[in-house]
Amino acid sequence: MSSNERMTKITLVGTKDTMKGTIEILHSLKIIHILDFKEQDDTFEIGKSLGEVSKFSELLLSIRSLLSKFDIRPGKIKSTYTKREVSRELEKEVFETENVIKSYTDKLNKINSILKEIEKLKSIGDIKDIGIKKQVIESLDSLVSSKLELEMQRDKTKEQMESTIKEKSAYLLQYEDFLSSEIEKMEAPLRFTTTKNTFVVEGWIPEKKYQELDDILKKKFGERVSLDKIKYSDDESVPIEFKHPTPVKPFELLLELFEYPKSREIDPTFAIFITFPLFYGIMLGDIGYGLVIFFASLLMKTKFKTEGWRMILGILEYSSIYTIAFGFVYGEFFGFDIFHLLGIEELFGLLMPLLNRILDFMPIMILSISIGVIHVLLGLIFGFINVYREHNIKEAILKKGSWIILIFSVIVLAGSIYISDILIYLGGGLLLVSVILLVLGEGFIGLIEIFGIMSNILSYVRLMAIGLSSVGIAIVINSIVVDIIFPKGGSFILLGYSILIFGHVGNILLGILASFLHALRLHYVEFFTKFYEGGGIKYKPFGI
Amino acid sequence: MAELAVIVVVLSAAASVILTGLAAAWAEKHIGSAAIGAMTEKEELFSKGLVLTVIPETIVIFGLTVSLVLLFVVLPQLL
Repeated sequence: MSSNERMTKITLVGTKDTMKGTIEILHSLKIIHILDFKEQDDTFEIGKSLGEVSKFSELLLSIRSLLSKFDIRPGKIKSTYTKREVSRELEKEVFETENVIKSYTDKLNKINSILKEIEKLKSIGDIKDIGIKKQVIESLDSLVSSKLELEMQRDKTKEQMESTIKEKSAYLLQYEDFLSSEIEKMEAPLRFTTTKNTFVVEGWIPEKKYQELDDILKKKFGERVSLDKIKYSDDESVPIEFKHPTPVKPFELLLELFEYPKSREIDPTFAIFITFPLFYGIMLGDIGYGLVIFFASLLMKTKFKTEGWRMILGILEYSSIYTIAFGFVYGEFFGFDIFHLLGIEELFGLLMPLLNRILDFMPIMILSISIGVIHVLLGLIFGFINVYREHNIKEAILKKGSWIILIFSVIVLAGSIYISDILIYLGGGLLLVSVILLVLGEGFIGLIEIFGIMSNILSYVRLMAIGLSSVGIAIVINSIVVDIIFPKGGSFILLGYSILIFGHVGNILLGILASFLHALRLHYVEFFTKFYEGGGIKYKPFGI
Repeated sequence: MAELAVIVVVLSAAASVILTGLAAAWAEKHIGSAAIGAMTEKEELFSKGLVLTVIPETIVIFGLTVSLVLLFVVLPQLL
């Protein structure tokens, strides 16, 4: 599960004359996560930016304002452009476009202000008998009549402006891209440590890229730049780059909201990928709601393209599939008992629905608690591995093993009621062992923690409770409409449909939010506390 | 006697939902206002605040569970 990239900490020292070239190389390789320069003293000070950044930033700002004003985004234009290749020609195009747009804007502003004045004058024309000379009024009238022409001109100018923008949007985007990367390069020395004649870069790179970078630098600058690996302590936060397959990728968001894992910790993303949608599905569990969420997230994916939205919609998409699956288990379609209404009693030799959420809440509650036991146990096993990696097997058994044995002993004791009395002795023995280990590991205080872990497991009852409240609201909406409003007939039918639509939309929104938050909480509070420390940072290579 | 027991069980079921509901609401009110306060300082805290706000909901979930057990497990044995 821990397939994430191994990082190594490096320092890069060079003479000042090679700084520009080094930045260029680092920027094009996109592998180094630069650590910002922090402490200043007599010999070491912060670097100065190369060239005149302010001029570039100003230009970038004006281009960006154009881009946002006309809502130009890379995904929206048809013509392609290659990134980071800038010619004189392009520069000329961009400046020309800027000037043209500026002249159009000026013209528009003038027309608009004249139109405003005319609006004011119009009111003078309305009152004729207050002693203004007739000629004046007539000339005013002719001025007012020219309003139409002005408006036409305004629209034409607007159209011209928009077509110009559309034509040149590829250039603008390309130039914006070039400028921002250029500024990044120029400002890079602000993150370096410099002395009078040298510069030092500290940062992290993927271990297997080390040789490549070393070779390139040696080839270009020889002995004037040197690259070294340096040692780092365990409590330093190492940048982490996830390497998950595409389906698991959206769930990284849930770690980002919490904290990134430390480099040697188990990365729980894969476990979340399995359990999060499962919990979500158990809680929401409705064929109709699942379908609505599934198609809504597919639709929104085409509109919202930022990284965060894509991740959140990806999570919802997976969760909605589980929601539909559990909808079949519960036999619910927008709160209606679908199998009952359709007259289906058996499907694949199984009595449908498998579980009715209102009537069979006890079995679902027991299922929820069992899931809780398994989930907490999984967390403890992860914790065992983490402690073992960080310390040794003895610590791991005392700190986490004791809890694992405790949970197993309770399972065995519970099993003894149903299976055989002999299990009582086994369970009791295990319980004794676990309590001894607990006291050895964490002292008598550890015994109090037993209540903590018990409430952790009981907390999974929410899998049943949240679902019960969601299906309860759906049934109330349906029965108000079907049993009370529809029988009245006439225009009440329309009212009934609108109540159905509003009610279910509201319930879906509530369901999305509640199920999401409670599934999240089960992971953060119940699962993560058993093993997760966090404190890693996101790997942000220079140049991206 | 049996009637009294039934009354007590039903009232307890009601009380467990009502009181835990009030308790959860009271706790969420405090957390929610603190979260909003934190958000004005730092807008990225929205997601953390949202998760923190639902944490006390456990109280009312336990209350609901207790009342369901009372109504559907304990009560039938008395009738």
